[in-house]
Amino acid sequence: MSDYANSFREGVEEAKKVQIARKEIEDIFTDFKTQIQRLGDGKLAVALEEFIVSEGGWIHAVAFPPKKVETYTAIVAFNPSIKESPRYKIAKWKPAANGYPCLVKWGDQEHYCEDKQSLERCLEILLKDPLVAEKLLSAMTFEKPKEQPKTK
Amino acid sequence: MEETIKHSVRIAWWNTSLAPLAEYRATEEERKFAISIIMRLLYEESVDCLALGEITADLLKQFVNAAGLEEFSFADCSTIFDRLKFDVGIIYRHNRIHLAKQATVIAEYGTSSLKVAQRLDLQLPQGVNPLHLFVVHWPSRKWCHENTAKRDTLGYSLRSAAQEVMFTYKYPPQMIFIGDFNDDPFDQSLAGHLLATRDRSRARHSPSYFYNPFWRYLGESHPYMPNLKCDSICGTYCQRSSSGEETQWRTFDQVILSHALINSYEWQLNEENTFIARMKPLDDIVRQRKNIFDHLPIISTIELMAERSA
Repeated sequence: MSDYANSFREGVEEAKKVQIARKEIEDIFTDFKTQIQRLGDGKLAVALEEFIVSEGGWIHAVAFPPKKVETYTAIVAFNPSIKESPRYKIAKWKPAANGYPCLVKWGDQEHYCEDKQSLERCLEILLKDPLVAEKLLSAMTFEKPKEQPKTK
Repeated sequence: MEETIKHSVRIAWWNTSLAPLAEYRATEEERKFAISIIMRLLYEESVDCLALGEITADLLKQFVNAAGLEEFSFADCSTIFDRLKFDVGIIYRHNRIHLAKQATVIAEYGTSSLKVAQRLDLQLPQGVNPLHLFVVHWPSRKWCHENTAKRDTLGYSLRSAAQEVMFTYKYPPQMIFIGDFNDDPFDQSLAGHLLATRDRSRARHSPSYFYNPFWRYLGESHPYMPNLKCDSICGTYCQRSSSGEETQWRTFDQVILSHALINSYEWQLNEENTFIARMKPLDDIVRQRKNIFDHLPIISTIELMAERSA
């Protein structure tokens, strides 16, 4: 007869490690978000938001009949002081089911991060990218559209 | 009436040794010699897409211009990213291959970055789905030792990059990994982490596995014959300063294919035409200490059967 006790204990141990990894990734992003918000002087914030895979992707070229809507998570930058602020997508964010590796993808780069240190380093690299910085600047300097005077 | 015609595309890799880490070190004579090898690969061996290692953007441009390769374009992948130098590029027949997209795959490892691959999404003639070509030049074992965690990370990350492509499809995608892995087919990074197997039936039955035809090229190319001198080789890279090692030959240059390419979905591997390109005098030169060239080119062929109205 099989003894499932050991497998169960191993599974529970692994599940705990996975939970720790997911929490660690969440904490790294929270820290990233807090620092950005502080640096942006109230005019810049980042968040994780979900988007639908665009119709131009390979997936739609091969999927027939159409299947359920595919989504992905992205880091977005916006100006939290303006309600109408657009969301500037700065990177795709995709932790593995087990937490690591965490994929951060922007421009023509895909970075696979294996642990806390490498994920933090990757976010530093992301901020140094001029095209990313340009989007952050756009979010910060975004101005509320002026209201059109009402015509009589 | 319809007739069936066969389309074939030849993909090759050669580590030129001209500019390791994108730093040019070759003499004019060596540069000319490299051009002659490239010309032979493109014309004698009819290669459609040639991936080159230890190259710079300038060199690629020079090759295409100097050799008058009008039907070829090049894609420079030799980016310098932070402190990381990618030294690869491709030359491809632009009337047969369309480069749709390219991306750099990087693994973050502690406080350093590791170059995993350059991904090029290619549209091939008559093909419906793209071919995802990963051009690989992993770090030398001098800087990133055999069987270390860094090499494990390279293997895992290449697999993750392949999975990222798989996620975008409803059925197995066409992927090829080609290049100088600085690991042999049996090393953990490739056999264990990437799951690049020698067992074709396993890779045919499960899209989790990749097929590595270069397991075939680990041993001597010719059998031993008493009193007969022959030019047998047992790898693609000849490490001339290998005293104390059990072999001076390594099969570091490999082509690894996804499940889709050994099933009859669309493009398929022609394994008979997948080989180490032996060409004189490079064949002799790689064994000699006094020059920079130490890798032999490798070639792989994929084919597509298509119907055409006659």
